Amino acid sequence: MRYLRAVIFSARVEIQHVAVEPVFIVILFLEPAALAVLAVYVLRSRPDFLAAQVAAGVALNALWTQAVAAGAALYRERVYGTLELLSAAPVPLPLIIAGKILGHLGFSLTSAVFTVGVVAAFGYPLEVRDPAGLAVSALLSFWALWATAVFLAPVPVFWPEVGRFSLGYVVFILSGFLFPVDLLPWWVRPVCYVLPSYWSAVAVRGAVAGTLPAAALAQAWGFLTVASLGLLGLGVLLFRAAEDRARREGWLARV
Amino acid sequence: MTVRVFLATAYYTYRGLLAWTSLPVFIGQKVILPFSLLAFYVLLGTFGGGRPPEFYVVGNAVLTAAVNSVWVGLAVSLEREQGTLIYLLASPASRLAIFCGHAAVYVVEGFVYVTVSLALGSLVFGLDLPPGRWGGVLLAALTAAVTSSGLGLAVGALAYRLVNINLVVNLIYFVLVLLSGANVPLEELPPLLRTVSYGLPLTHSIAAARQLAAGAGIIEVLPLLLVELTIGAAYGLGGYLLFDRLEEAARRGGTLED
Repeated sequence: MRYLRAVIFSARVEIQHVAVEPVFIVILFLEPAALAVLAVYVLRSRPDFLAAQVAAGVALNALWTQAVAAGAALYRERVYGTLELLSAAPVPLPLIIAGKILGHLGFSLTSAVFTVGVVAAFGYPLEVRDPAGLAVSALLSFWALWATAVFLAPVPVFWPEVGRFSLGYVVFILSGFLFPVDLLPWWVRPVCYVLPSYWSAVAVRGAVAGTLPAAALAQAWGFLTVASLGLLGLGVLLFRAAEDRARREGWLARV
Repeated sequence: MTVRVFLATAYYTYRGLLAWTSLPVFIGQKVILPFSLLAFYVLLGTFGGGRPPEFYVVGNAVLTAAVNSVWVGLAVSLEREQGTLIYLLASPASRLAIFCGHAAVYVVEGFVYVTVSLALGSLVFGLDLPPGRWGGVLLAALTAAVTSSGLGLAVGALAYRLVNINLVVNLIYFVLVLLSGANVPLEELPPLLRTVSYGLPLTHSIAAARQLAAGAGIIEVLPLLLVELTIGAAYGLGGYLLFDRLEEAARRGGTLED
């Protein structure tokens, strides 16, 4: 119960922070809005154009960006000077950080709603052909993004410069949020197939279009579940090693 | 004195931006990021099928150079954030020389971006750009980079009023992505937005670069480049006046250290 309260409180504090931080406003609303407008303009001449699919793709883009930002939760606490205090709290640090990531990603769902609104403003029908499939796909995608962010959180302890890499667009390209990965060279595609973001794009876009066979949808769900569990397990191990190293090397309070 | 200030500012801007960084970070930020942006827009456009990949490669390569120049607006914001703005303003150095010193590094960096983007565009997306046409396209890109730094000056002035101008710079970035013609052909834009597009310090350079890539001569695109330079000069002048005015207001209001 105490742990659950800590997770909920961490999530709430993070939401209060994200809601007023200009950089998050840019990636939550400005970037998805611009991308949605651009995608509609560029893709609307395709015979198989589906506005709902564009909205879903842009929303996934935004959520992935937020997953990377949320994954920097541990590093941000260090910069703010609160990490040392948090690590001394009688609740495991990974739980606090996981709660923060949960709050961050939960708030990011407003971005998805906003994106749908921007696409809807063009007047195209937003038809979802497999609503139940979309609901499950969205839920599993959210879970996978959360697991990815938890996995990413301790990485800066081992590799402080990781935050300087802007890999957002690389992942957009490799995930096929807005265009199929078949456009990429054959030797790049195996990288796509191991990314949870790729499978969440397959599941969400497929459910929206209603063109994905049940077996393929189940395969995507299966991969998302297994990959998330794997990332979460690795994340916990990495967290333990990171916490141990950070304490030994006095990393917690260094800014 | 002014030349010395210009060179010193350019040198320290270079050091602050690039000289300290490690090779992996440099590759991540200066090669992978610009190229992934280019690749994203080219693949999106190619999938849309409205135009051939060359349309998007050339447009977005020039856009890369111009956007980098707009980022110079952040220089003032950073000086303020780091607490060095008051010392800069107390110095007798010319503001214009300081700004141009900052901008020069961003322009040169943007020029490198566009060269790398075009080279990678040729390798990966099959852009057919014979050696004889490179000079013209790079000239158009340089024009875009220089004129966009005028817009960067105007954005930099806002840093006297706004503590965080990231939002403004990002807004301008997306306006350029959408309205400069790099990704959406101008004739597809609504009339009002098309008018805005013609007032941007990038639109004419992109049009000129595309014509040059298709084999046009410099003389044929000269009117486009001259219009672009005029627009850039107007932004630069407006930005300078705004800079002057907001600096004075910030001094009077004692808000430089907020």
